[in-house]
This record gives sequence, C-alpha cells and structure tokens, in this order.
Amino acid sequence: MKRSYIIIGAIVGILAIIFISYISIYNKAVSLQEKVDEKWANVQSAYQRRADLVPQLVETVKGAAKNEKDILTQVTNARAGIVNAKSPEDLDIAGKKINTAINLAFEAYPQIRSTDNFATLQAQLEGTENRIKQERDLYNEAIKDYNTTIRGFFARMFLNSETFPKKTGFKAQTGSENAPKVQF
Amino acid sequence: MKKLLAQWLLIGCISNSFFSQDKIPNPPSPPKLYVNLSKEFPNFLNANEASQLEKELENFEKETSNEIVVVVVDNFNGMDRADFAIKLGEKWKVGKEKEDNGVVILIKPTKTDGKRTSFIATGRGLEGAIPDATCKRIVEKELNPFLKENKNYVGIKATLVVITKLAKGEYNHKSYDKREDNPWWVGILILAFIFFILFILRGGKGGFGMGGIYFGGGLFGPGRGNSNGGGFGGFGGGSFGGGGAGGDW
Repeated sequence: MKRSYIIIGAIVGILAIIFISYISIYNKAVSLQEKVDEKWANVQSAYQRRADLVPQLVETVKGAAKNEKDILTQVTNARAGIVNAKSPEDLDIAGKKINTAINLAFEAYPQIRSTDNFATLQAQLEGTENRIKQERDLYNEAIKDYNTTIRGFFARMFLNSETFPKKTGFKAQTGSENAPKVQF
Repeated sequence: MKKLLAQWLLIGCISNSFFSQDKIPNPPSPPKLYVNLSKEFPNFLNANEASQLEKELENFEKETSNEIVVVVVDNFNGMDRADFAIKLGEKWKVGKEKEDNGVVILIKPTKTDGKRTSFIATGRGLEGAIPDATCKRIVEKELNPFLKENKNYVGIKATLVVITKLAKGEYNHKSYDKREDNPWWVGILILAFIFFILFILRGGKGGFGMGGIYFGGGLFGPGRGNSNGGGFGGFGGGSFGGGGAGGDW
C-alpha cells in the first residue's frame, strides 16, 4: 500500500518536473523569438531609411536627371521589397535595388557632388549604412541566442520544430562584395 | 553529416561574434567619462585638463542624464571607425537604459591605419536631436580643426559646447546648421517647459511627486550613488543603432 503511494508520488513528481521545464523552455523560446522579430523590424526600418533618402536625392537632381522615373520606380519596388521581406536574402535584394537607384541618380547628375546639400546627403547615406550594419549585427546576435536555446538538449525534445524553426541570420559580407556599392 | 555541418556552422557563428566583441576594449573600471586608452598619446590631455573634462562630463550627466564619453585610442583593431564607435557604445552601454541617450566621441590621434580620425556616435535616443549630418559638421568644424593644431582640449570643449546644447534640446540642430544665435522662442520654450514641470509636480497624483524630476534614472536611482563623493557611477544601459558621423584630419 505504502509502496504504491511512493511510486505514484514519484511519477507525479517527475511529470511535474517535466511539465515545469517544458513551460519554462517554451516561454524562453517564445521570448527569444519575439526578440528576433523585434530586431528584424529594426533591420527593416534601417533599410527603409536608406530607401527614403533616395527621393531626397532625386529632389536635388530634379530636372537634370533624365531617368528620374526609372530611379523612383526602382525605389518604390525596393521599398515594397523591404516591407515584404521575410528573410535576410530578400532584404539583401531590396538593399541592392536601393543602391542601384542611388547610383543611377549620381550617374545622371555628376555635378551633384558640388552642391551644398551633398555633404549633408553624404553624411546621411553613410549613417544609413552604419545603421543597417548595426541592426544586422544585432539581429544576428538575437538569432544566435534563439538558435542556441531551441537546439538545446531538452528544448529539442520538447519543442515543435515547426513553431520554432531554426532561423538563419545575415551572412558575413562575402556575397555583398558584388553588390552595387554607392559610389561617391 | 548534415548535423556535423550545422554544428560546425554554429560554432563558427559563435566564435566569430565573440571575436568581434573582443576587438572592443572593456569599459573602464572604475567608470569614467574621459577614457584615454592610447599608448602613443598618454598625454593627449594633460592631467589638469583631463580632470576638468571628467568633471564637466559628470556634471552634465547629473544635470541632464545624458552620458557623453570621450575615448582616445591608438587603433580600431581593424574595424572601421563607425563600427568601432557604435559597438563600443553598445558594449559599454553608454546612456540610460530607457532613454538611450549616450554619445561616444571617439578620437584616434595616431596614423596607424591611414589617417588621424574621429567619430561621434549617437545613442538611439539622440539620433533625432543630433542627426548624422550635424555630427559630421561638428567633427569637421569644431573638433578636427583644433586637433590638427594639437589644441586637443579646445577642440573637445568646442565639440561639447555644441553637443551638450543639442542633447539638452536647448536649440535644435537646424539652428546649429544655420549657425544662428539662439532664437527668441527657445527662451519661451524653456519657460514653458519649466511651467510644465511645475505643473506636473503640483498636479501629479499622489506617488508621482518628486519622481518626475529624475528623468528615468534607470539603474541610477539616487540610492546607487557613489560613496566617494560625486564621481561618475557607471554607464546606464543605453543602446546604439548606428547613428553618427566622423571625419579624418
């Protein structure tokens, strides 16, 4: 009699421990996933910031640029690409489009370099580059935390890999060497 | 095989990011706001100037909660100046946690990799008050010209005059960019602000009271003061999103 109580008690205890650790792992995974999403939004807005600079650039160029329309279409497309981007690759593509648009503007109007606004514009462009870099790095860090957690021993037993898929961050700058860089 | 590859990638990822963290020097202990890490220029500022600057930065922090740190280094460990300054701000957690109101003024007076250079990085909360283009202008008009003539202290002082005013919101960056004197309405704005504070203090509900004065001191409650009588207590947990600009000289 007593023995069966002990056994039942032990089973209940073990189940309780499993349940509690499940909850804590689940909650941790959720919060890390949230963090990843938050950083992702930051990366997107950093890219948008760069896209928003282009119309400003076009404004400086206005009247002189023959392919002004092309430039603006490029940016509009890129902007849509940023909003809809679900993966780092998508965002990289959109980023390249923005840079192409900026370069187009520069090509169309080389004298832009001598305008008063150019110094300001240049600082802003550099600033957006720095922001994109920083937000990408922070996103990768959040991804790393998240992935380490969901790939842990218990986590792998407990967590559904569809709700918590392994995520990929931005690759190191290797591929982007070929990307159109803004030429001052 | 796949698993092995994945693990290998993961390890690569982790060690890579650790590596980048290692390139940034650790925050000074005890915490300071003027930090000279240069071996080539140990007397970038003389002792007198250094303590003067430290005091000024501390007072500004106490007054407005904005944390401005001036850092002098010999090299950026292979990183570019923007990345180094921003990552340093992020690692040292310059600025208050809620406000993210930190500024890193980074100066490299050596010619180790290329040119002598400086960079002003703004915390997320100050990107609006001190936009990149303004940072650039400050670096080129206030800081670098003096550094070029070895008037280091004068340059830093001139830079601080502008940055502290911008950070305080005493005048907005547009009026600095146009190089005007303070327009009349700034005074009215300040008066309005004072009345606003008074209004809050008097009209606030029960518990609010004096709490309104401490602009979200974050980790720096009045309790966590410094026993040594008025030194800088430590960085507050601010975050950097990549704002700022720099220039060579």
